[in-house]
Amino acid sequence: MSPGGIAFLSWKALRHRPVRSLLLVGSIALTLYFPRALHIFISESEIVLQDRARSTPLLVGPEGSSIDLTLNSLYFTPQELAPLKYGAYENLVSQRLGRTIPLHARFRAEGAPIIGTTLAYFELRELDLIAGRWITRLGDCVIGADLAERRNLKPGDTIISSPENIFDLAGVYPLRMRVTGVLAPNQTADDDAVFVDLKTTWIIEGLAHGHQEVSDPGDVTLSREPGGKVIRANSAVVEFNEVTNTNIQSFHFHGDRAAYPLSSAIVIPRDRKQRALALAFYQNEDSAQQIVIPLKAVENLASTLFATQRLALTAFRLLGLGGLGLALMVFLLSFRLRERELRTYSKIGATRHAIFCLQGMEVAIIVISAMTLSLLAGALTRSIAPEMLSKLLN
Amino acid sequence: MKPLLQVEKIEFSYPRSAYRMRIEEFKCNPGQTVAIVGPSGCGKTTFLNLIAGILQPAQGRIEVDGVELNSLRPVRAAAFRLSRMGLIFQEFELVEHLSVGDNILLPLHLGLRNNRASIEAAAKQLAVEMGIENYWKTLPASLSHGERQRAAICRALSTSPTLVLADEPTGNLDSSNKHRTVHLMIDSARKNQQALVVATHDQELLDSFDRVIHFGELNQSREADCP
Repeated sequence: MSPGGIAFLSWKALRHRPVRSLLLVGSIALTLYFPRALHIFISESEIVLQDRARSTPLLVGPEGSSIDLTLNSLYFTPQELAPLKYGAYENLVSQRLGRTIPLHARFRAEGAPIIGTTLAYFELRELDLIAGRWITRLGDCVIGADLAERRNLKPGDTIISSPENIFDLAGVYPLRMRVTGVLAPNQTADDDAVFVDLKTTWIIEGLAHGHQEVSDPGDVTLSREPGGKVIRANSAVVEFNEVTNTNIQSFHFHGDRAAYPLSSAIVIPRDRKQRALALAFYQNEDSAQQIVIPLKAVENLASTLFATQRLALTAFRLLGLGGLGLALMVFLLSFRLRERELRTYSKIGATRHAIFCLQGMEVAIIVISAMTLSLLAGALTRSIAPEMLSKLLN
Repeated sequence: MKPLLQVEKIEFSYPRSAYRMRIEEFKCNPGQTVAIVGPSGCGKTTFLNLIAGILQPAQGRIEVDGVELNSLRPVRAAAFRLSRMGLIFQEFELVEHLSVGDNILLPLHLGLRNNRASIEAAAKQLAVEMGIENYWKTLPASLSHGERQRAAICRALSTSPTLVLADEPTGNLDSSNKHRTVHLMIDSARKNQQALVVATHDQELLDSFDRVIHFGELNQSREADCP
């Protein structure tokens, strides 16, 4: 039998039962795709995680899980971490262990994390603006490219921080922030974040606020103590939920600034000595802070992922073998059902070898189609994996 | 004239079966039409399968067009069958997922290396003669029994074989279709000098054939259960 004839008869047979053929292609493709997709996701996640970790030499944060601290500081994933006190940060700065960048990553706006930091952060991450200008005062923010696109935000617009808990009346009040700039995309967590000055996050935290002037004795919202010397403000005093050029002077901080919270601090030692000193500085067991090498933390996380991957791959392989066994059984049953047709070919003049080739061609068409589908799906997964992982990590 | 088909002293039995076939001699000349009659189950189909080389005799010699078929290797025998024989089966044996046209051209799809264009032309001409040309692209399932049998006959004759073997070709046909089908085969055999051997138990058609042989007389085995 000619290869053309074999291909023609095989194709006709497969096309005659499209549902069976497509089910076979689909199930074999999925069997091949799942382990591949898992492998792609794990290897891509390692790349994505390590890329960011490499550009962050050291992290100082509260004691606890080093992986949680790293994920929170690098990918702004919400974590239940104790705050790093601002006093501890000032202590770190005073040690002159390198450049330090404070991070506050507790709040969210429009589903995106609000990152309180300094302009040094943008320098570290090599972030540029594609529109607008940098932060110049309290209440200003620059936003990531993805967030700007998703929410259709541009310089001059405003974005409101989300309340942490609607039942917490004494807690965080939403702050309307002015978007002054949009960052160029860099395919990291920065693309979906709102960056503000550190002090702005403290306003959201409730540690600083602005309100109407309370020194005007004629104001009906104020009451004068008997004797007339002390003016007492009451709940009717208007508290501002937005920083404007007219009310900015009224914003002021309360309490001990050393106790103000941060999430972590990035430390960029200038040389190996500074790095060693920084690592040594937090070796003290009594220290309430820890220093983390993000790359190591990510490697630990990756090794956990790899162990999970090995387990999952074993499970997928077993499932795959079962699936392929079922597919083989479907083929064998199908050939048995078509025994009469194959016997007709033989009677008319097809050799046993030709009939074997015919059956082999049908199996080959299905398997090759499934492999092609699985490869295409794999390529698609590889192309979207970094973006998906960035979104998942956020 | 040298016979186109020559069967000599063949013996055959199925494993684990008491049935035996022993045929001393059977000949068929080019252009000759032979009807083998006998009741169902007496071995007519087995005999045709032996001639076609689908079954192998335990002993004896089967020669078709000067080629000793039972001495050929299976691959050669299959190729010979494909190019030189036309087989018509009792149950049509059309492939359900192939159109009528593709069923008729099945020998080409199975690797027949003769002139493709001439076979296609002959097949289409036969389809016209058989009145099934309108069903060329139709699947066999939507055809009547008679139309299916005519498609099977087209398939057997389209390659201009030297020997045509037909097993109960009219078993599923009504009276008018029976005569039409048999005459088409006989006319083709005479026109193309083909040897035509038809196994049938239909008494109506026997007058049309050059020779009529009762299978009970042909099979000389005592263990044959043919009455």
